[in-house]
Amino acid sequence: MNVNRRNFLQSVLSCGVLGSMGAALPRLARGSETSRQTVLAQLVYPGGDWQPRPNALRRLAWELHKRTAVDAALEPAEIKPALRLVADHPFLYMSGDRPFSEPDEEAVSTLSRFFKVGGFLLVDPAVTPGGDLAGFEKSVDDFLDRALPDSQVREIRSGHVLTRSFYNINRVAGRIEGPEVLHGYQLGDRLASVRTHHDLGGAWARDNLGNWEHDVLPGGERQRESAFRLGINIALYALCLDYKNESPHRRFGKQIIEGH
Amino acid sequence: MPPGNAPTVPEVDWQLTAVGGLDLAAIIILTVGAVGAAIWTWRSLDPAKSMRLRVLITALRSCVLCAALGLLLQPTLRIRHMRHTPARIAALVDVSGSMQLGSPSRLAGIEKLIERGHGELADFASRNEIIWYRFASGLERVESLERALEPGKDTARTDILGALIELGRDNESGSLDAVVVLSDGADTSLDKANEEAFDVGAAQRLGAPVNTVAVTHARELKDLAIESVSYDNFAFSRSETPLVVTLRSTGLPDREVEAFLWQEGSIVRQEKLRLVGGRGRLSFTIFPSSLGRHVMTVTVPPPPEDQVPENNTAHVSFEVIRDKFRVLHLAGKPSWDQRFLRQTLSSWPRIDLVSFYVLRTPYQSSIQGSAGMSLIPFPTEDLFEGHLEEFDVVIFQDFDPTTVNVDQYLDRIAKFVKEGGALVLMGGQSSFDRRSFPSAELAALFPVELLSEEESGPKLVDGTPFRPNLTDSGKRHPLTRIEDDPEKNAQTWRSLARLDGWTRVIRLTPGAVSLAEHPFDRADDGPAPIIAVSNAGAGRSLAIATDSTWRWAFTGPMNGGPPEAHLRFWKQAMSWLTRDPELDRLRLQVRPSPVVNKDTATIDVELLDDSYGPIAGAPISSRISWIDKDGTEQTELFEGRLDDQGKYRRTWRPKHEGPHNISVDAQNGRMSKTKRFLVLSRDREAGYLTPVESTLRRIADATGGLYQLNALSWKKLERRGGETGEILSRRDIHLWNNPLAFLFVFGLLAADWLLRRRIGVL
Repeated sequence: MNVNRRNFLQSVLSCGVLGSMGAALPRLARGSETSRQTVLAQLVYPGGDWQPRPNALRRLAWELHKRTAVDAALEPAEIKPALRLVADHPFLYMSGDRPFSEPDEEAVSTLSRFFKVGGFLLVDPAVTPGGDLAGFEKSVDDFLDRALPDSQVREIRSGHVLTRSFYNINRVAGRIEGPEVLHGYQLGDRLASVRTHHDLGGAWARDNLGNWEHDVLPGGERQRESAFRLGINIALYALCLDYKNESPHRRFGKQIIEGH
Repeated sequence: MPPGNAPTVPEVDWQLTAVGGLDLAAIIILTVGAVGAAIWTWRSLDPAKSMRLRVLITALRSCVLCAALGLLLQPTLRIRHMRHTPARIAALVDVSGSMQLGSPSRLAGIEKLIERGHGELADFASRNEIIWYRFASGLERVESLERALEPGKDTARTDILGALIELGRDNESGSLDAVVVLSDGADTSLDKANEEAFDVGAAQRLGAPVNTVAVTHARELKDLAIESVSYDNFAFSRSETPLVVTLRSTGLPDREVEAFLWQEGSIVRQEKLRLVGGRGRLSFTIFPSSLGRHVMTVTVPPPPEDQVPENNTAHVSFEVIRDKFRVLHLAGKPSWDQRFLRQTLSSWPRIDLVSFYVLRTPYQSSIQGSAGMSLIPFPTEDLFEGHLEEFDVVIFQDFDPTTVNVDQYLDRIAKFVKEGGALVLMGGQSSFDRRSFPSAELAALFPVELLSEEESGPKLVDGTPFRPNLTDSGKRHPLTRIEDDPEKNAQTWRSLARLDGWTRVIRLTPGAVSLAEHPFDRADDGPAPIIAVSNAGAGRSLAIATDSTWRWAFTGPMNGGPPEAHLRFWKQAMSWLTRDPELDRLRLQVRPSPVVNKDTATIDVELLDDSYGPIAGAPISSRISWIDKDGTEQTELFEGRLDDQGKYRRTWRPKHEGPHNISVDAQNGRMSKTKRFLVLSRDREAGYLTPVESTLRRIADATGGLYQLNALSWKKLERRGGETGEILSRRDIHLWNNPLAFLFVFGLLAADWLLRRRIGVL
């Protein structure tokens, strides 16, 4: 189905997203402090469920703020691809648990430009009881094929700079254990997008009373920590790129691992 | 000797021909039949007869058969009176310097070849029109062979193809039937390295065969020579740069030779080499450090018996450019500004980036421990004590040195800048808080005076979005030249994405220049500087009082703004910070490069002020110096005044070949610049003691001409359409239609019959 701007807005209304958008806009307009911070933004799209884990990204932002020197804004933004606001947010988070409407040309073209000039997209499918994971994956495939036609999809395994950007990660994990690899869309010498298969958002999500929203299986809280570490590494990769591949870091990093 | 007038005396031409009308097949059949008959005769004779008798009979019978066959062919003697059509032949004699070297010279060799074939030439010249030329750098038509063998005016260069092109022009009215070039093939108009690229098309366009005669020395000269020095016209600073020297000796036994590489009067390298078979190759490897033109000299001391010591010295001149900017990027925290700066710098292959980002604050480090982390300790000692000088530029991006113990190295960083390094201070707060830099020595090198949070009054960082304005200096300064065209550049700056805020400073430091300023906020001394620069000793510093230039790399292009602005800005910044000679304020140029000795050279001087505006009318003085043949330094001084555009031009004529220095002083010595340049002799002939026969062979092969080595046959010269002439009269004498011929055959038959009868075989 082709979606034009009007259809897009209609579907946004029908999905009840406007409330969230309305909440997001004042945050962004709030002023200079936030605009100078590192803001994580969630991609809003028509059809499907763009936010199956509503508190996940906020929690990641908090952990990023707490654990690293990144001046992370604690409130994530919510961004539609065809809006100019995308131009303020080089880091986008896309989640979902079911198929979504085919984005229109304007949205694809904006995201395509976003990737080209250096934007980064984390795609994190949510594994939910009533969801259609395969349908979401298919929609993402179609979308990224259009927005990143020239990129190569590659496996990200232990040893990739992303697994060393802050923590040393030997095994990727989220709310579910999932496969041992992530998938990355390579554009030039950087990853423009990373896809997880582990429902990271499910592990990150915590309600306002401080309760974890979902159990993490099979590894429990240790695995949840792994999910946060992976999220932080992905954010640090988006910010520092292959910084950890520079020779002094490789040399010193090796010394640390070897215990010198 | 006739110089080449067309002959008119008819010639008699004798020709034996057959008029019997038998075609080739019939002749072959008859011949085979005759041979068969002779064999049959031999076999039919009684073997009991004596061998002598059998041979005699067979011979007689064979003679009869031959005679009969001859009569059938009807042999005829054809006598023709004809007038030969003279061919127009251009003879070009190479009289260049290389032809005159040695004793006897190659030119004498040509004279000898011609003398040896004097008779043949006289005969040839009597029947053809020979037009004589001599050539070296140009072609000159002369009236006689004797004049052709005399050296011409400009023999310092050989241009064989140029001579052939001129020959074509000289003979546009009457086409040539053939050309003969007498030379050693050493075309010194070409680089030796480009001999393969010798384009024979010019010779082919003449439309006539070009016959070539290669002349080598009858006796080799005793000479040790630098045949060539191969090098690139530019080299990268601090990178391995080879100069490959090819040596050759003739007439001397193989020996060990020593070669020296000189720069500015000092030996910088020396190598030994043993020549094998009169040849050898060695390589000098240098690592040029300073940018700009380098002039070096290769010498090989000539042995005492060397007859041509002139070719034992070779000068080379090449431009040294920077291959990589080594950048140390220190960021106080991961941010989009740091990220897009990294992305931009990494995308430029000329940047060699080493980065250290503070990923955890000291507080986080203290409470979190390091288990499971990939973080490394900041190798401050290793970096600032051992390797700082290896960098060209140090960037402090929102970086507080006191938090990671870099403050103890700030004086060292100040020294690094004063000695030619470059420093960039980028906002936000951490880099622009005075307390971050407890080194007065370093702070004095910044383009802006820093505030501290307490002193600031309002917040040190103002987060109100804005778009900076270029100052008048910024409109001219190379650092802010995102576009070459000033109008387009101003327009591009107006179209850049807005920045998210700025960091307050007290004022510009003395001598600093603001290139971009806040549209309405002010510092103590004027509009608040957003981009400011200053010269800091031999180095330079740049302050960017914002932490949101990433907007130029991401937000701008996302919204249709200039896509390359961020990259262009940083490329310009790197060039200016590292004193790219192209961006110098005192510019000095000597052209051409190299300058040809005794030709005119043009010297251009341009002087700009700190903001890259012209300094009009300022006096300048200049000094050119060189070392003459006696090893004495010679100088020439001149003075002048800049014009309204801050420019000065004069011409100058060198008197001596070799490396020269030129220095220019302006503003009473406050600005000066020195440059080296090379003056080369036009005469490259001494380097061609070995003939280049392949050149001549290629010309002959390409045009269908004849190539001869140390030999000259005029008759064999290839010409267009072969030899032609006009038949005046013709008479045929039929040799077969003669009674004597019949009597001869009859006599043979009779002898055969009588002999057989006598021995009883009839």
